[in-house]
Amino acid sequence: MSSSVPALVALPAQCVPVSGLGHIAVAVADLDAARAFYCDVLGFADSGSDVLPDCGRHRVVAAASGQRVALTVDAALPPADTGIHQAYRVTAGARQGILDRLAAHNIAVSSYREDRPAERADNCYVLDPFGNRIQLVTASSAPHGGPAIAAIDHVGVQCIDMEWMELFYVGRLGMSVNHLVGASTADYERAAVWGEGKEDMAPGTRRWDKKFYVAPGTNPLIARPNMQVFLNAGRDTFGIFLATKHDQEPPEETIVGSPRTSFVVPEDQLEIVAGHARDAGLSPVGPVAHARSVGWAKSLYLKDPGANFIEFRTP
Amino acid sequence: MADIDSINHTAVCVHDLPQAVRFYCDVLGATPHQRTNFSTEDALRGVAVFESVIVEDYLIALGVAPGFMPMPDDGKLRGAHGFRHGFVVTRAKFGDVMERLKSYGVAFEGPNEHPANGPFGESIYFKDPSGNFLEVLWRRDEEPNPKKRRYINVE
Repeated sequence: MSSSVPALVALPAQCVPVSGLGHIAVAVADLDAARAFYCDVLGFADSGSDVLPDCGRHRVVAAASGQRVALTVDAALPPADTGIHQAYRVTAGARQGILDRLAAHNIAVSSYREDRPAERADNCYVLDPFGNRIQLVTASSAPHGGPAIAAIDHVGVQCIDMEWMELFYVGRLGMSVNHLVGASTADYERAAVWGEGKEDMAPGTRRWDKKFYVAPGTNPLIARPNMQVFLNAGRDTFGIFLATKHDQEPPEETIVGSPRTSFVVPEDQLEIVAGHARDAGLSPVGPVAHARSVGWAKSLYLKDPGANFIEFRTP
Repeated sequence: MADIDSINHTAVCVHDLPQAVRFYCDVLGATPHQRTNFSTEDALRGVAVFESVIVEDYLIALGVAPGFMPMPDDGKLRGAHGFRHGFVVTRAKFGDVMERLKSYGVAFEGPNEHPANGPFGESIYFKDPSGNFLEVLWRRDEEPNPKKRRYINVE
């Protein structure tokens, strides 16, 4: 069940009813190595090649929920040590099987902590062969249980201005805030604990800031929470992390690209989202109609204010 | 006569920024103005996180305290915990402020009457959600057309 907390940006009168995350596109360098890791180690179901629209050359793997992950061949792999990650929901039983397979392949597993209450439990993190950080979120009762990956739980993207993102996703589209990090004293105090080396936090959640005044002979750096906002995307979650450095963005004219996150909305909402995007100064593409074999009817593409590739699509 | 014209703004430390912004805007009628350190540019410079709100011509910068401040007991509504902000309203609007506080469930002390030969009429005393002391009062010497000046000329 999603809950919401006070946000800095007010919700609009009409909210776009997002039901959840659809498919996501993840950048990889080698399709065979990607298939082997996602299917043989993580337990996704192999679901074909080059079947999803606007994903370039890709391999498709599916979670038990039916949500698909397009492993797309990209020249640019994810930057290291940022908040960017993909989180998959598993049952405790499935997790043990995955951990056993990771151990058999000598793949290191991390057990970072996070701030969002729903992620404070014992999570595990692993890098895929291409540097994508994957988080396994253990759900006490995953509706699509079984031995495999149950569902896509959340996706973490980054941006260079949290306010731009909140104004678009919260203020215009009406996605409510599930958790906000970096605007309360409690977050600062928790960051100090990390600074003392007492808490192993996930990349992108903390940062070292330069002190305004540095007494001679003292540490010029101070531990701070890195700003994050987690939005309710229907049954799933969309995490936005403040970038702590400037990374190369895709070319301005490229609107459809990968990596990409898709949100599922009713068909009549696609034009409404397109209107909001244009009002926000973005350049949406579509709605684009797909062949029946794709599995959903239409998609609207946009690049959000954080330069992330986003898709809104029909169920 | 001092060269200083008036007080322009105050930086107030709070424990929870969204909660504080909501309080100053909803309860005291402030307007959200500007945020700092919500961008990578600011983060790289290590700027403090704050959001400023405007009450008429006065700006209050609500900053996130990096550590919990020792605050007075919940039941203590009147004091000067380092400082107290006193806002003036017209006598006609004084009752509305009390009604607003009641409707938001904000406990206050008063109205307390001030000496009849002084400029202050009555005051009420309360705290923001982080525990910073606040006061609202009316003045016996209120002008029928007080100088109206705004922090920024926006409606």
